[in-house]
Amino acid sequence: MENILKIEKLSIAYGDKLILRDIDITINEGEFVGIIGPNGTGKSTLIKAITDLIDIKNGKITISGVDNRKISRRERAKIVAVVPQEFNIDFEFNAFDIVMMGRNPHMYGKKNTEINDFDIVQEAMVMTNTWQLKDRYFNQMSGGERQRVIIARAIAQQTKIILLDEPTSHLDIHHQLEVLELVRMLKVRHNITIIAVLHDINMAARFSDRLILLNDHNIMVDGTPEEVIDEKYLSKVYEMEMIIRRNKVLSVKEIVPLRVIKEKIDVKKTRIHVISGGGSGEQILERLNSSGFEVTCGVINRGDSDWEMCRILKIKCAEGLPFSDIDERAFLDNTELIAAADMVLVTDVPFGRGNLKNLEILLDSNKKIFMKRRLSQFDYTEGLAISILRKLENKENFSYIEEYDDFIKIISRGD
Amino acid sequence: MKKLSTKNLIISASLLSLAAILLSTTIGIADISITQTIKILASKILRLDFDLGNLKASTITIIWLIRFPRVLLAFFVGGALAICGVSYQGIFKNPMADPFILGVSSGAALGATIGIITKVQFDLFGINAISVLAFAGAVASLFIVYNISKIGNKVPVTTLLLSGIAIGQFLSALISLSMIFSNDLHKIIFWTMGSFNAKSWNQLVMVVPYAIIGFVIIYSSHREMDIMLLGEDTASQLGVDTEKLKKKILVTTALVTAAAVSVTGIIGFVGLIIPHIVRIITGPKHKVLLPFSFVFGGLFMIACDTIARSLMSQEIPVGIITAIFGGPFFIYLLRERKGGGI
Repeated sequence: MENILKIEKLSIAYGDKLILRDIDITINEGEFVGIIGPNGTGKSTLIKAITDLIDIKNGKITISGVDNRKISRRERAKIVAVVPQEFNIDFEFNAFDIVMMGRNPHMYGKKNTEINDFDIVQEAMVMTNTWQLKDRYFNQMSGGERQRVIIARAIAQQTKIILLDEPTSHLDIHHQLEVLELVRMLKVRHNITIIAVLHDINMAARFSDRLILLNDHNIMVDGTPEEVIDEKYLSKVYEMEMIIRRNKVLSVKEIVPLRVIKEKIDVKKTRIHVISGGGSGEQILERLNSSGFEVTCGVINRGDSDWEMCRILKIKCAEGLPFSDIDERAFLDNTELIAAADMVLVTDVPFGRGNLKNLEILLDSNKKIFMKRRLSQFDYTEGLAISILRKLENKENFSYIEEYDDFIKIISRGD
Repeated sequence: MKKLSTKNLIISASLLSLAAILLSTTIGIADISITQTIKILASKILRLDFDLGNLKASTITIIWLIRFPRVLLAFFVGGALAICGVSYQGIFKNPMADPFILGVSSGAALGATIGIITKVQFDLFGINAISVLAFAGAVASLFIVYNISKIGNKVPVTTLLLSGIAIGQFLSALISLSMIFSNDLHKIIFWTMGSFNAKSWNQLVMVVPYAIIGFVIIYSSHREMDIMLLGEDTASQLGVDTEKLKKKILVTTALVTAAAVSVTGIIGFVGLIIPHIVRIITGPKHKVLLPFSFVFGGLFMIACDTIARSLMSQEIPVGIITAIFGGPFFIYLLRERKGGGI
């Protein structure tokens, strides 16, 4: 594989304001590189530097083995095409005209290339599904159509590299996906090197071979999405709470952004034991944990999505074997955790024979018990769970809550 | 409005031009028929041996030495100003740009004012002192504006436009100042309103080469000027050397404008509205826009000049006519096209 783009010790400043400092990037031919990072970290500046739209302060950019400063505009436009974020014109060019402009760098000093150029433009427009739009005015098209036309223009430019500067930030989710699938197709079928500045980290992780995370004028980490999508980098760079988990459908790591502004609750070291399972506790476990309560959980089976949440949040829990009844050891662990807690919260988890013990255990407890009111069927034990629940309802320390918000209100009042 | 096909446009534009030139050469205070006009022109241009014996010598003089060169001059000046307007609107991406936006007109006017006040008398290739000074003033003002705006190797458009306006205002103030202390107020005012009065072959010979060579140079960049409409950054990324293109267009249009203005005075509005009107008909592509702006600019100017010299016994400066008739027509077009692009 050839180094198609090499950036060495690159620094860029606008006046006194430093934008990029000592950046080193080497990109191989045919790679799809996603560039991510918060606003103002110089992502778009990097794109401008590669196309020589701004002066660089220090360092060197080499494209296809040639110093970027020695490449003329015309020659560079034969190697690098750019798809900008959003593109508006006030003039009535139709889509065909716009795509034909991509042929400009190839047209100087040549005669009779019109037929050839027409074919190339047609092919690019067919590829991007825009040929049927060729006579429509560009300024009357939707955002998704425009972006496809601009990609067709980049294809018609017949370059080895396509740079994309936040190509999807004005598009709805359908068109975001469409644009990125199209770009990936260019990489796979035509071995075009793709360098894309992307805002959406999950999209970036899904489509890129490699991610470069920029922060504070510099590269924080450069590696595979597997390496880069990690809380230790992302939470620091984006300054927020997040969960990193594996998206099982797409088999990629993904980020679930949680919050930037914290709820302020005087928690007084309250310890809450949560009885949940089957995903019924994901939401409240995270919320309690991040609010600063000491949270425990049990009994949950290994592999259960609540169990995974506990693992991500490092919540202590009594765990059982996958797809099994609660065994003696797990039951004892759970008893201990309940004994240590100040109160118990029961989610609207359904009960079957496997987890009935999680309900029974509460009969002997004198801790305050809050239970989310159940609105649908929850008893899969032919009446056993309901009869236990009736007994619990008669206990003085038992009360229902309608919403988790009510529970948060009660415990933050401290009674 | 539906866009006409290029072929139909070429045919109708050529026929219109021919008819307009003939008609306006015929129209005037001295009563001359169209057949007489055709006869005189045919015998002079095509060297056809028509019998002109039954025509008065004064008729031949009026047609051949006064009206015909004047109509041609109007055509070329109108055309030249229109393509300069197209070029500026294109490279500045600004619909309000006209050939005078960089202070060229004020420079020319100051040069002419100096000529009128000092009453210098000299002749350069048959061109009088006022025209020569106006040309020099126009070129000098562009030179100043360009160098003020230049930062390193680049000329940012916004700086260029703003310093053009600033220098223009400054020079206009100087003109006003000189007018206060001059007895030739009337002459200066008339000069700044533009006129084709008493213009003949000498002036035509001065303007035509600039108009034609200027057109050829600008036209050679028609594809790049299309791309400039997408913005300078995008144009660069599509392989256009934007700084070089800007310089090329600026210098060319400034010289063409200077040549036109120095001969006729300042005729406003043509360079602003003709490009817009033609763009509505042809679309924004310079390949078609430039030639048709030239033709329609020329036709519009012929029409305005014909009105200017035949409406009243006293000739009205043509700059007044272009604005009086062009303004409402342009506003009508704008309202017709509400909501559309430029």
